Amino acid sequence: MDISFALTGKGYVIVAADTTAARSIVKMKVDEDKIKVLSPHLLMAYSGEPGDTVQFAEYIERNIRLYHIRNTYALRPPSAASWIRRSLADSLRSRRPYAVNLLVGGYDTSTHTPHLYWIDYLGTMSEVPFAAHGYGAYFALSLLDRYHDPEASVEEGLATLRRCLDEVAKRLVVTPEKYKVKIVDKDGVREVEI
Amino acid sequence: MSSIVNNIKDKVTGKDNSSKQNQESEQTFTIQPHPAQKTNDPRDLQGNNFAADPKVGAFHAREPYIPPPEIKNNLPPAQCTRSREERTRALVLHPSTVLSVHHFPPRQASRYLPNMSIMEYNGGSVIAMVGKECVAIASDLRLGNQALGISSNFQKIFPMTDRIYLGLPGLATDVTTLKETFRYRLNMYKIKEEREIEPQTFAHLVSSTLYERRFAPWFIEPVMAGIEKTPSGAYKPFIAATDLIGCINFAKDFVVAGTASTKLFGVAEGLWEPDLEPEDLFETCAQTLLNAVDRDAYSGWGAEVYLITKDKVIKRTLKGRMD
Amino acid sequence: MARRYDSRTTIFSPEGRLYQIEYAMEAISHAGIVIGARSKDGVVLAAEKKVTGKLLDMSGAKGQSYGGSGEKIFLLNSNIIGGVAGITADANSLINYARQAAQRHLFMYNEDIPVELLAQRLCDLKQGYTQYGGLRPFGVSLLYAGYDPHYHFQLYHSDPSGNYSGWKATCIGANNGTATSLLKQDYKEDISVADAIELVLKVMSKTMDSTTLGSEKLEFATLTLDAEKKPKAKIFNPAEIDALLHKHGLAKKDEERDVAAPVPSDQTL
Repeated sequence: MDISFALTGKGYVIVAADTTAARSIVKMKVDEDKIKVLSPHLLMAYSGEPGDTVQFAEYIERNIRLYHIRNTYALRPPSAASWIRRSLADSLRSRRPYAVNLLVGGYDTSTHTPHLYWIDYLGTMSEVPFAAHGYGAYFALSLLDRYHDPEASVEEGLATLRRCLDEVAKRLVVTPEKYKVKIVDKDGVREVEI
Repeated sequence: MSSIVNNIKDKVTGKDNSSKQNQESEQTFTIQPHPAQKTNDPRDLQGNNFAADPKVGAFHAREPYIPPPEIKNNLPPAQCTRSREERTRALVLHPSTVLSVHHFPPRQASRYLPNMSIMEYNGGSVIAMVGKECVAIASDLRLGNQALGISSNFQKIFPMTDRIYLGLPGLATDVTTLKETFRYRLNMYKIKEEREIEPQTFAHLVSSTLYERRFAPWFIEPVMAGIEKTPSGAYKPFIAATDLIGCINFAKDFVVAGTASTKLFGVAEGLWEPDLEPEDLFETCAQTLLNAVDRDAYSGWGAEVYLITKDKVIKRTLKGRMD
Repeated sequence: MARRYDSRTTIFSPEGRLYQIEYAMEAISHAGIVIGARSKDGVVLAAEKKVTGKLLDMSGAKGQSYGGSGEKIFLLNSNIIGGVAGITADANSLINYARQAAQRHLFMYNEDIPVELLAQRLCDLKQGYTQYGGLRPFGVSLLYAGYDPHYHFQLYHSDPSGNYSGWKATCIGANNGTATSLLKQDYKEDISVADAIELVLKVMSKTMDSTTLGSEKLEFATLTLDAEKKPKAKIFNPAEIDALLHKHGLAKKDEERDVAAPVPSDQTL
């Protein structure tokens, strides 16, 4: 039931995820942050099997941090995404695979480009201009096909995101009421209210 | 009597006996030999016609071997005359027999993918064709999540050396994993051998890499295309494909794989001919792919074609239908 | 007296020294010199070959290939070249290890290994041999000339103890004291790769035992960026080295060309 969106623009990536932690039909929590800040210029929205999500996200978070500490610089977004993908792909063929879907968004400070990766629990990875996981994907992707602009400013990007959230609110039977939205650009990560 | 019945039958089925003329002038069809062969005998596709050789023919016989009557009628009676009950009892009594029956747990990957083929989860197709001193390999660019399209820029063909290209249709996670695995193994080969791998050798590397996972396979059916240099210095086109556990199919004309493979076979069978010049081969390959994936919901969303000749490789990205 | 502390790599002497490490370093200071210099748009490595002679079969040396058949300069990864000084057999083993480490990194992270990380990988191995199990340390120093997107062009040096350090210009092998002072004198900040090539060749010609330079005594390599901003390693083949020397006016005169140096009897190069 988790819904997450992400889209790139001119020098930034916006990542949004709903804040509901549900079990069966019951909302257990409505202010859960499902977007991890992996490094100064890297974000990861996670969704999927409860339990697996937090366990896997923290494993990734700590290992990316360890690399940062050991080498003084953090992994660049393409390398981090490749490593995260490999972790999931290895997990898939283990005794108990993690069922976690991810959106990894980052800003590469050495080439000054934003990167967004769509990753699913099988370890399928694709670099995309915009992405979504969960039921939101069925409503938002076609909308983003129409409205997404890779050269858009942050304001325009947020307006496009707003459209996606409104569409989900209008058409999906069970709509999350709140989203957490984070932006990563050359200045690092920041959270915005939407 | 029977003529009356026949007349009624003909009326019901709409057949008109009076227009025999039409029936005779109706177009007739004969089965033409495949362009790669001279006759319709499937043995022609094999390099050596062992079956025709009386010395070794018995080992390569295509029909079942039926012994002549004098042998058949003088066979001793079967040794095992125990009854079915006896054999069942023996099975239960011997613990070793019972222990040897393995219990296979359900495959892990499919636990989350009920009632569907893993090979068709992400979609995608690849085709490779032989021309005159050239080969072409083409793939679509779709990445899907069953019916939902995720990306229209998902590459499935990767350069392995300057003149070997590998297409990896199948489960997308394994596309990436295998691409990285082959890059690693080829780099290690290059370091140790101080030279690039040859296409034939590479085909066996692909085969053994896949067979390594015989009982938990990568869900990929690789297709490879390249140009090999013969000892005489000539250039020979090379294509091959394997199944998901690494059984190699060295073909002389074309190989296909992926969700549109059945359609690709059909179109390729109609369009391909031997000794196509590079540009004609490109057109044949591109049109085969584009038209085949239009009949497949899981492939499409654009295509890319690699045309490999002895001195250069041309990559062209094609637009396709976006539905 | 020192003998008591010589036979084991892992034992300190009463003065707090590890003799085996120092002997390894000594072996290196007899080896052919390797000089490296870094500039803002490239890194340069030059090395003196000691094993020469006209009977030496060089037909297997492909020069530009990934494996490299050089004696002193090797391609470690597409973004890093390495220069070695010390025991050849040890060096070959380390080079093989480095290439594998680089490929493992590429496999895990889908990026070329950062230069310092590769130096660290080798130093972890080298350090192990100063501490564990009565083995001999690697008698090899290396120069790593490389490029990565984090720190761009870099030059590192590692020694048998497992120490490593980054340099603007440095050298290993015989006469390294002379070469270092020459580099110190002539190195300037913000030089171009062309200046670095000239500097390295000049220092090389002044420190090598033979009076004039030639391709049979020299190995040379550069690492620059190509048009697509991808690192491009170039290990020069003999003809290219001669052309380069000729361009800088350091080439041999024709009558000297046939005089070949004798092959040294010891294992160092």
